[in-house]
Amino acid sequence: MDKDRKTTVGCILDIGEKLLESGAEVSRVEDTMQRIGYAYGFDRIDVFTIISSMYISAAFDGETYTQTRRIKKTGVDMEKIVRCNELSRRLCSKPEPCEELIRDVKKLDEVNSYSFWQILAAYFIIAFAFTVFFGGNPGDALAAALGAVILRLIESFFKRINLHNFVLYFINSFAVGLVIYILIGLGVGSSYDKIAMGNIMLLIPGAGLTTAVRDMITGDMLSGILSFLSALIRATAIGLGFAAAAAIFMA
Amino acid sequence: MTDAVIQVLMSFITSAGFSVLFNVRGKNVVINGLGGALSWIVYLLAFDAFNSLFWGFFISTLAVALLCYMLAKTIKAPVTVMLVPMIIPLVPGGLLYNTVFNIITGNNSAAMSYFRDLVIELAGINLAIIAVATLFEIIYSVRKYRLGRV
Repeated sequence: MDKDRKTTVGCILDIGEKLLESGAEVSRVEDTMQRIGYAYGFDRIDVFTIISSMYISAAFDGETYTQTRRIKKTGVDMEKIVRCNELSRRLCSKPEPCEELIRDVKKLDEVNSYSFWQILAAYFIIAFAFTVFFGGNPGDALAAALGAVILRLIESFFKRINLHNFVLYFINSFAVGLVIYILIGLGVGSSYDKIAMGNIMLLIPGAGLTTAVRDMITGDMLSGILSFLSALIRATAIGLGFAAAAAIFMA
Repeated sequence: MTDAVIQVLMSFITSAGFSVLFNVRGKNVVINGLGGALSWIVYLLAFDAFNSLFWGFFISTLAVALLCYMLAKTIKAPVTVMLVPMIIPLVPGGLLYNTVFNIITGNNSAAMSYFRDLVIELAGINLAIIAVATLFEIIYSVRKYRLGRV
């Protein structure tokens, strides 16, 4: 039984980890872990989460089970959030035995995701639409869309090298900035600003910004400030990258 | 007018497109796209009525956030899944770029005015989210309190 409880605490932490890595708010993560813990009959659950680490301490009959995780990966995966949410609802109404719990938690990683080509198409369409949105002509929009395709390729190339976020986003933006100037030179599109903006919208951490603010509202100040700052730093890197490319070609 | 129609159409596409990047599945992609279009329609109307960036962004986010919280309750999905993609057209990426670009090129007064707009827009978006989140928190706790007494 002691071993089962340890495994259960580990599984609860797994669900929390998956939620956090998929871009859920900290309050949702902590709330989910606590609810599942109480559903499994623990007397007391203490959870503390910030965007880069989490710990859980669960008490049962005088015995305390404590585990921690270091979170390095962050992204947005809404389908995974939905699945975690469904599983936690199910567990809260009817706790599963250990083996089933382990299996169900493992299953969370098998969510469908869009293929490389579908994502590439989404990049193309989003950059095109944003450039039109910002008042660009069809030529600008086409240049932005082509730039976005190259952006995606550069991104997937640099993802393999473990670069710090600031450097990564600076390089990505700078490279796309250069590509845009080359495209303009070839006669595709004319307005650098509008083309760049179409691509900037793809890189800007819009999701991070809103989640950060909601973390702060719900009282998770530390996480809120951390993700707000990291969004700000990322935005600066992006702005610097595109501006640096513009400065080079203007000189 | 044609500009407005084109912008609304593009808002639909960008919100739906970002839903794909955020791995939203099935018909929710279309719902998010419609929400994105709605956010821009409300923004255009509110901006027209009050002639103010803040109220434009505040009212628009308010409408979308209300919709998300109500949808989330009916389809039992987390609010984030809809809210984040739907407000994509409102994310001030262009302003952010213009601010940084003007700082780099030494055009401080232009940078300052872009930065001011950026702060106003972010404030409008976030205050609206705070307002709706608080409203629903109050509704839930009142409901819980009532259930507790019965």
